Amino acid sequence: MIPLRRKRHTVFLSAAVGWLASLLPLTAQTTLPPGPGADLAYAKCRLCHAMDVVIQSAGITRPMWLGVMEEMKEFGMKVTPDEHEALVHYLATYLGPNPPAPDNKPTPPVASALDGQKLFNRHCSACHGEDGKGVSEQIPPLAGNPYLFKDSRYPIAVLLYGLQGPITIKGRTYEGVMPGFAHLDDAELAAIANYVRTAWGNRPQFLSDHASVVPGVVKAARSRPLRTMDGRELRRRLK
Amino acid sequence: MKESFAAVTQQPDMRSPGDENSSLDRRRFLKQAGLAAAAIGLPSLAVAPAAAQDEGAAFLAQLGKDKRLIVHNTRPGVLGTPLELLRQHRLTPKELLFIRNNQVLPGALTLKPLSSSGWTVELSGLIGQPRTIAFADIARLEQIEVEAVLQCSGNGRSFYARSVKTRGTQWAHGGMGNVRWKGVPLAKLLESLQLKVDSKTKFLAAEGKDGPVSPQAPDFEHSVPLVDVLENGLLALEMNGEPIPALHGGPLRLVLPGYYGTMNIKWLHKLRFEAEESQNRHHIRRYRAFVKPVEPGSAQPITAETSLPTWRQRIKTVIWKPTAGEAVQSGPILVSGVAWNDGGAAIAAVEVSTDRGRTWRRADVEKQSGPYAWHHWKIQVTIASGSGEIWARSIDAMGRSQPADGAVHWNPSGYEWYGVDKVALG
Repeated sequence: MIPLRRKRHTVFLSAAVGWLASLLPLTAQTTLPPGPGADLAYAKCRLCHAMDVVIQSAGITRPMWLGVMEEMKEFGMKVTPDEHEALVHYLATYLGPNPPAPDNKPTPPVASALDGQKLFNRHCSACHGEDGKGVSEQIPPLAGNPYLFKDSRYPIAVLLYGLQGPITIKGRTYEGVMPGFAHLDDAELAAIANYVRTAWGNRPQFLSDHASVVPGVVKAARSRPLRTMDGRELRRRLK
Repeated sequence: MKESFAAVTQQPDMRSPGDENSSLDRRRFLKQAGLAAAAIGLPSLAVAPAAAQDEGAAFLAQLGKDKRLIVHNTRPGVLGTPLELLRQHRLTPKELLFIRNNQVLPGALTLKPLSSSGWTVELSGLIGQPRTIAFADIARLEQIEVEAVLQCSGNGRSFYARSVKTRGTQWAHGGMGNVRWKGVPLAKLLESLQLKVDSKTKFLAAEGKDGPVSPQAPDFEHSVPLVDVLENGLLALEMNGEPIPALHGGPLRLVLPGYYGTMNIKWLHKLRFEAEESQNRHHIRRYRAFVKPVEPGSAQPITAETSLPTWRQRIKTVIWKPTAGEAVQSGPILVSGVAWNDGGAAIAAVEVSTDRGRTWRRADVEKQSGPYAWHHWKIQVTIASGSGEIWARSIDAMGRSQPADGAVHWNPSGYEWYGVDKVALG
């Protein structure tokens, strides 16, 4: 092992350094360094596994990331050629041996200029399907899903922070875990929320909640981060 | 977060993620109590804010695992055990035992047992007619017990980063445990069924009840050499004296003592007797290491010709006292740890060096509980300045030992690390 250059003289100092080092979180390493293409990684990788294994692999070379991509495609990852390029570029750059400083997004886009369907297909369809039908036992459908309408703050909370099953929709149980999408802008999340509430024949079930989701509501929800298991408690209280 | 990201990319050694050698409780800075009791109400939908680490803490609590475990990920669920906890037990309790899920069986994210009622195993392949047997038919047969090391093939992966980092969960030593299995030897099962296995059969393909998330993805399975399965493979029903916890593959797990963890298929459901190895991608693409050494970082592909599955565990030694995080005074100290191999030959010696491998002394090795179990060893050494390194290695009766630089076994997924163990002091 490469010895750390620490003074040996006190147990206290070692313990203090050890404690500081222990703050480097070994859990919940689920936030990617920001950069163009990070959203694709969030969209594609988390169908099957949390982001940690990707982040823990940071520092491997571009050929190695290409190998990872090829293998992931064999295990069910679906990417267009453009998405493949963008994703490889992101991984090899921001999770490569010499990453640049994290590239935070420029000015958020204007809500009205956003295409909810395009956003949904890019960020959500890998799991929920472009047809909104989900995957039996694992991923709930959005088409015909009444929980999108009981209180608009619920789908916003789920979009931001994810949701852990098991949950039941129309008599069927889904056991998966949806990760959060807090890396997307308020406007993007609002556009996605509005899209899923009107696509595939979806219509508001309750007059009290037919209003469109506005970015401001998404922003307000960010001040109270939740764990994926908290979403289920929220859901329970919607009944 | 930026600081921890820097740690991930620039410091692959002792302070990298996956380092289970630190002696300190990572959870103590979390505000846990408040979250559980938080009032959630409409119309405010207010819940107490969650710290980033709470997802991991919640996962451990949900499973019933010790809160001091390292959470490598919550999906599909990978947990590691700090050495400070491992060294307190001869048999690793279920609350501490590492887990590496490949796929998640619904209802199995718990340490409680899964019901065996209605559980069946389908036998097919080169045995004539396929047969389906019930759990109860297996359970009523005579059972044996075997104590064995359970170790993830990726355990030690983070140490490859000293030469060239590989992809994957950056385990240090936390992906291992020592448990006692009880079950029916497969040979006895076949005998009781009077099953005629065709002489062309070389492999057993094993599959569990779990499945992939994506319907297009291949379902996890492995092939293992039939000769090994017949010699010491078990259909295990108990771990450490009680029904195998659901999380660890209960009610029925294929156990191959001496084999890496991945081959011990959880939630056993199907066994196929075949002439060739499975062509399933989990078996031919993953969990394989090179047969011949390559340069670390080599672009050589893993193929059927260049690689073998991570079957038998390589001989290995772990120093667990002191650990890298523990400070040491100069003078005499007691060094201790464990050693093991695939059970194919007795451990002949465990050796320790305090001068970076120039000279070695033999450690005292306790009488072991079986060829597949941890062999406990200890040695008194004198540390000159309270700094420096302690190295440990083992040799078995076949002359198999450990490389001074584990990078000699580099492979692109970082499997089967078995380099000489090195702990830096001070």
